[in-house]
Amino acid sequence: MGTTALKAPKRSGIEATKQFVYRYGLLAVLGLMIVYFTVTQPFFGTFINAMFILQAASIVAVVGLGCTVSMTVGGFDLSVGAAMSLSIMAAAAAMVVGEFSGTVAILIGMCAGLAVGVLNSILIVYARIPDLVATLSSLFLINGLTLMGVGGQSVAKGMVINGERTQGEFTPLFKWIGSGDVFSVPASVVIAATVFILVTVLLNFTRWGRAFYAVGGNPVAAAAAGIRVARYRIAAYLISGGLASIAGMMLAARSNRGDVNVGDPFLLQAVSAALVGYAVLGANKPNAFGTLIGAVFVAALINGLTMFNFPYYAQSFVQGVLLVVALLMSYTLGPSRR
Amino acid sequence: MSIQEKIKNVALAPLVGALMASAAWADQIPLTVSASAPSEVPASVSDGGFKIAVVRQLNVGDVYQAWITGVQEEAEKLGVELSIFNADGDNAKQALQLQQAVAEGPDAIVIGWGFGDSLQAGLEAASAAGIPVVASNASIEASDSVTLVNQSEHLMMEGIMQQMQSDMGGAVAGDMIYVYVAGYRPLDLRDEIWRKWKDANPGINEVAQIGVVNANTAAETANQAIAALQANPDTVAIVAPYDEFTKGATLAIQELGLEDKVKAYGMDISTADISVMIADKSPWVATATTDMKNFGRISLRVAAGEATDAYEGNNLEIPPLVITRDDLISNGVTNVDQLGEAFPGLSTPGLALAPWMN
Repeated sequence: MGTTALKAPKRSGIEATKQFVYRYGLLAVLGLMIVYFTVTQPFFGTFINAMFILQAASIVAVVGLGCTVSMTVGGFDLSVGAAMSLSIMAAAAAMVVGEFSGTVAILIGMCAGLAVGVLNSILIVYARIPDLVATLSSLFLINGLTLMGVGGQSVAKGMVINGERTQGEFTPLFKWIGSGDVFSVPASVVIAATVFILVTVLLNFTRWGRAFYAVGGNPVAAAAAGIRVARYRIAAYLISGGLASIAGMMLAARSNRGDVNVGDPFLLQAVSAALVGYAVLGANKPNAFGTLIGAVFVAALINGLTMFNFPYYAQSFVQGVLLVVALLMSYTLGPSRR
Repeated sequence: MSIQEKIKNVALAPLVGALMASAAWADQIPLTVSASAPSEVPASVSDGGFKIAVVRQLNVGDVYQAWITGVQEEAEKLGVELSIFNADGDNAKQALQLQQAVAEGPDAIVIGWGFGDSLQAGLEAASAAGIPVVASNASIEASDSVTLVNQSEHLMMEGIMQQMQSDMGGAVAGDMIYVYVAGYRPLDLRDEIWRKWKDANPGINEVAQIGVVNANTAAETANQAIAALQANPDTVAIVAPYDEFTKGATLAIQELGLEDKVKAYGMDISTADISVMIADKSPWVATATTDMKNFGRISLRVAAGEATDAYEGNNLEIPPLVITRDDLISNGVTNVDQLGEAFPGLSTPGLALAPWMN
């Protein structure tokens, strides 16, 4: 061990290039892509289109930041899409069926997301079921529960329940989340930016953040160092569920409906954003900035490809290529793991 | 009041349905080619750069693929540049995409499926920007700036029920499984006719109502249908008025080997649907359809016409055709391209055709 550590690393040109690609490769590709789309499609580079891209990225980014937190403790939350769907249905039903105000609907929706976090915590921390299988079972439980609650229907203004037409509708405050803006920046972008800043501060600039990573790196060592591992894992799943519910509100407010299982595709989108994030600045671990870049990258890519009329299935393929390239950067070019 | 509300109000009062329908839909005026429509290709089109944005809620599946193919063919014929957005069934995504389409400033916008509640902001922006919108098969209200293009859902459902009546030799009766999900305009409209038939024919015994709409509709409908068929062994028919439903129903009947006992009455048609229908012992005996490709073609044509002031009115209904399994087999039809030759009633080349489009 001692002798290898003393050896000075050979700084060949190839090695330096490899290092550069490892650190800045993905950001460079993103930059080149933006330049290319801007030059070829005049509309792409406008402020208004930049806002469309960020709006498209905002929901994935918020769910992805939640996934990032659960990944820092070495966990994996497969139930974020289901938590989103549950929050959406709970908030939509609160307004449409319960005729509650927007504020109450938001609180109910958030409680639904946190409840999923509590369920996951119980299964993982107390029942000691491995993260993947525990959150997989919550995925099905929560999706089923959501559908049972609304009889398999989408929740929308004027829906019929037990032969009675509902009277409530989405309130202006709630709709504002989806279509309002602050100094011509869309509300959903402002919310996502706020969540990003909070998660970045938590993970990178606080003692708790270091503890999250320590728990994920080696729970036994973390416990030996006096970190209350169980508490951090519980906190991670609560944050994950809570952020999924915020993303759910953003989605419901944009569509003005509570659609059945509409959160499902966001699980994979969010996980993909978090994994792409590993390759940003050579982090090689879950990190907030990387996840944000992962979400914006995909949104910008789809936005640009749409302008070239790429068919939807080709867009999915290109997204796959992006993920593979990012994984190659962090796993193949990155420092070898032991 | 949304269209769905109006429809449901009408449905609540079947006795005065016809009367109320005409009152409630007063803001809908049948679309006709205007006498003052341009007869030469307008300069905005012939000069190039005439652009139509297509904003689709649903894009995965045979029906949607056929529809977009029709849109693309007609665009090529008329010299229109297309910009296509796909929302993958996510209404929030479609809402954002419609706003983006408006911001790009096309000459017209076609919405392929979608909900008025979700698209409100984008529709207002389009109206403010003076961009005509064509709502194709979408749950959106007609207005000065929004033109509706729909297949006649009522006539389609009426068509397959009449086919069932003639198959059963006059009296429609027996245990039936019905596939339906509320909240989708075409399905809601078909449901009105189903309820009308149930009321008029007490012999119809609806033993189960099943249905799910998601990315995996056919397979999940099949699972539900298998359970429902096993619970109700006397079932004689599955009424599944949407082709993903019908494919699911057909699969369920085949997996249980009930082809001789249970028939599936479906809706829509695509090449994949045809191969399911003409397969050996297929229980899918009849379907009602407008050719989806033709539907897409008409939708794009109406958008181009609206952008060149070619029409009066804001509502166009495409007439359907009932096609039986026997019709397909006797005509040797194996794909949608042959469908047009075998059933000339499907293509409606003169519909909404402005003089300049020839």
